[in-house]
Formats: sequence, C-alpha cells, structure tokens
Amino acid sequence: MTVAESETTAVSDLYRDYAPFLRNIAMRKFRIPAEDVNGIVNDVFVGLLRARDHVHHPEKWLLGAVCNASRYYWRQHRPLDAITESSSDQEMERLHTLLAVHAVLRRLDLKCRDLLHEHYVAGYSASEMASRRETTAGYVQQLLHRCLKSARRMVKKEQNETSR
Amino acid sequence: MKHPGEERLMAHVETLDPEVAEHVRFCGPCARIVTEFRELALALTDSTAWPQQSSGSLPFDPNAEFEDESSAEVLLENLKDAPVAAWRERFPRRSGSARTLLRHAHSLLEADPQRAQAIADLALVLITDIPDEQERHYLRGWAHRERANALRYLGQLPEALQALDRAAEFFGKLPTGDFDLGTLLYIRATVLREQGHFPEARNAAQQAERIFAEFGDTVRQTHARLALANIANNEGDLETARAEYVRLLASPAIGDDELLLTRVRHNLGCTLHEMHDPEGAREHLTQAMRTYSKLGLETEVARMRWNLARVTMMDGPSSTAQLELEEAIDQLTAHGMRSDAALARLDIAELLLGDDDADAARTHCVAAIDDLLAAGMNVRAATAMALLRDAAATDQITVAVVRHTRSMIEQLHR
Repeated sequence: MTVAESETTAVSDLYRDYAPFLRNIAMRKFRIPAEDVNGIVNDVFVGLLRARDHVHHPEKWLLGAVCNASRYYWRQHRPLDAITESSSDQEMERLHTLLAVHAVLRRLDLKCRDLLHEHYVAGYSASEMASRRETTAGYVQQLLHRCLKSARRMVKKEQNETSR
Repeated sequence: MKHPGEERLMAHVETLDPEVAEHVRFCGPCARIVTEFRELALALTDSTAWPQQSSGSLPFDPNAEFEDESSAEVLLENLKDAPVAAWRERFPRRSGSARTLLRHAHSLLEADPQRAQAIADLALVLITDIPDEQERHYLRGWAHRERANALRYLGQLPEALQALDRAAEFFGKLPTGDFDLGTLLYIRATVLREQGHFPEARNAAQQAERIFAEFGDTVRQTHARLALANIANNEGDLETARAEYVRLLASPAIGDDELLLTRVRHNLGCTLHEMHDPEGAREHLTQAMRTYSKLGLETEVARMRWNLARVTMMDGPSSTAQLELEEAIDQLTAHGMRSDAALARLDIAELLLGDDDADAARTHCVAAIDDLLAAGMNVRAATAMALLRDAAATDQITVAVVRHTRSMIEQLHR
C-alpha cells in the first residue's frame, strides 16, 4: 500500500467513524438545516484531505473545522448578530469531551454500551432496568457502575493520547 | 472522613451523599473524580455522543484529487539540482505538482529561502488552471504562506506581511480555512516581533493560540505560547517571559517534542541571564546544549557555548570567560556564523577593556568588523560598525562604545 493509499484509507476510516457525530454537532449545536449538513461535513473532510500534511490530531481538527464551517455557513446565510453560537473555551472543552466519549463508546463492550444507553439516553432507572431483566436493582446498579468506571478510564486515556 | 471509594463517589453524582459532598469540598483529588464522572454522565445523556450506523465510505474519491502527486515527487527528485526556471515547462499544471513543490519549498526555508521563494512563485503559476475553485483558493493561500515564510527568512519583512495578507484573502474564502488563518496569524506574530511591533505581535499570537486551542492542536498552541513569551522577553518584561517559559516546561502539551522542550529551555536560560541569575541560566543552557548536541544541531551547540561564556562573564573570572568566548568563536566561525562570532568578539573586547587592555580590545574590534563584513552586513549594521571603527582608529574604544555597537547589531539580528 502506498503512502497516499494508506492516507486515503485513514480518512475513509475517520469518515466512517466520525461523519455521523459531526453531522449531529452541526445540526444540534449549530442548528444547521438537515439538507445542508451533509455538504458541510463533506467539505470538512475535503478540508482534512487538503490540510492533512499539517494536522496533528485529525479527530480534534475535524471537530474544530465543523464548528467553524457551521459558523461560516451562518455568516453566509444570516446577519452576524443573528448567529446563535457559543465558541467559549468552556463550550469547546465540552465538545472535546463529547468527542472523546464518542470515540470510547465505539470501542466499549457491547453489553456495557446497551446498559449505558438504556440508562442515560432512554432514561430508565436501575429498578426499571432490573425488572426488564428479571434481576435486582442492586445488580443493575453494580453493572452500571462497572461500565461507567471502565468508560471513565477509557475517556481519560483517549484525552491523554490526543492532548500529546 | 477517609477518601470515599470510586464507587461511592460515582454514586454521589446521581444521588447526593451529604457526607461525600462535605469531603469533596475540601479534597481536590476526590472533587476531580466527581467532576469527571459528572462530565461523563452529562456526555452520555447527549445522544450526539452515541455512534450511529454510517454508510462507511467517502462520498467522493480523494485519489482523483491527488492522483498526480506521486508522479510530481518523482519529477522533483530528478530536477532537484536544476534551476527553478527550468522546472516551469516540466511540471503539469495540476494540484499534485503544486502541493509537491510547496512542501519542497517549505523544507528549504532555513537552508535556502531564496530558492524556496522561487519555488512558491512557480507553484502560483501552476495553480492558475486548476478547475476546482476551492482547491485553487487553498493552494494559492498555501503558496502565499510559503512566500511569506521565505520573505521572513530573507529579512524582507514588509513584503512578508503583504504575502500573509494575500494568503488570508484566499484561506478566508474556504469554509474550513480558519485553521490555516491561525497558521498565518502565528507567522504574522513572528514577523511583527522581528519588526519590533510588540503589541501587534502579541495580539496576533494570542489569536493564533485561540484558534489552535479550538482545533485541539496542542503542539501549535504551545508554539504560539512560546512566541508570546518571546515577545514579552523582547519588550523587556522578563518576569512574564520567565514565568511563561517555566509554565511551558511543565506543560504536558510539549510531551515528547524534545526539540521544542530544548528551545523553551534555551530561551529560559537566556532570560535568566538577562535577569542576572547566572546559576539558573547556566543550568538551563547546559541542558539545552546537551540536547542540541544529542540531536546533532551543531550550530545551536556553538550558540549555547557562546551563551554559557556570556554567563561566565557575569559571575566568573574574566580569564575563564575569555577562554570560553574564544572557544565559542572558533566553533561559530567553523559553522560559518560570522555575525555571531563578531558579537562574541565584542564580548571579549568588553572584558579586555574592563582589564584595561585597550590594545587587545582594539584587535578584537577590528576582527569583529572583518567578521561582519564577511557576513555581508547591511547598511544599518555598517552605520553601527562605523562608530566602532572610528573609535578603534582613534584609540577611543570604551565599554560604552562596545556595548552600544553590540546592542545596535543585536537589534538588527533579532
């Protein structure tokens, strides 16, 4: 495999793993209309291909680029004072945490992922989850804690690796 | 209360535990763990973080865009030693050619900035016919950025700023151009610093730092912070510069970047020297010299040897300082660093004048003039040296004259 081919593969992998996440960021955080989201995210990946020689952390670059491309979109489509956006350090830090959690969730054990999704996204309590599984709430709580601990460890590792 | 276990801290995030809450108020490590769990829980409730099914392949063919890059690299390898003018008809007017040439121009910046500029100019010609408008904007931005870099190395600072403006114009037309605008701001900061426009330089470096932070590029962010510390140093705000260098040395962002770490150490050593802290200066400069030597950067080793000799001038016997300066001059001369060697000779002249040996001091001043002439000094440097030459000719050399000349030449080199 040539260098160019391996780079292309790497970008393809990033597209597979991160394009949906970036679309979500653009739609939910920047309220980009659904019909324009694909164009923005694809432009960002073209940008990555162009800039790949001087990008150290592609995942973080993609996140920064999609935020800026979304702002650019609104600069083109609405007067500046109407733009609703938050580019504070705190907000960027939150988005970086979201990025790390996204990366971890893709690797996390499937059973853990399902449990955490049921609890944190679907909103079921430990007792509700226990009765669906015909087990005790204490056991579900234990499982949730174990998954959460493992996720925290992985997120920390992910953040340390990308901040290097 | 003893430190609560991880389990209990985690449970506290969902169901407030008053005893844990009280403990966490006064315990930093436990508070950090609770914050991490809270942030994780918050991120898990955000459906954006959850992976979804994806089509799994790029909606365009990146190979088509860069297909001619590898053939351009082969062509460049064959033409490397030929004059750049002869390349014009050989390289196809495609984006791959322009990229290959611009990467090559960048690699030549330190060794041969004039050739780097000529190559960037040629890339601009090749870009003209590229059909994709965004690709054309990006490559033009890149070409003007390399021109700016080359012009900075050549000392043509106003022209470098003009090239940066042109680059910004093109990157500004791209939806993903903000990162590249950050790199331009960083270069602008270094140019403005060299021009002595410190507030403007600081403003540009701060903007660049913000952009790099936003893109999560901690390495470039660290470079921008280093630039800010250097600006503070140039402004004479030595305490701010020192504090920032120390912070950078402890920063995890430097990580394994040994060269960057050494540059910070080098600058910290020089600042401590200016702050009249010979011990601190010697410690950092010695460590920097060891690493430069390990990395094979011999010109930097020679420069460190000179810096260390200057530290000895401050706190050691004058005979030792003179010996060290003479060794440094030999090394600087061996590496063709004639203008640095001239400044080191002025250091010896200053020592000799302190020992009332005006004749020997005059000899070194004359040798310094020769070194500067050999280094191709410009008109302003010549004006500075004329003062010294007149003083040498009329036996009027004093420490003040030597220092004044030195500082004028140093400013020209900054």
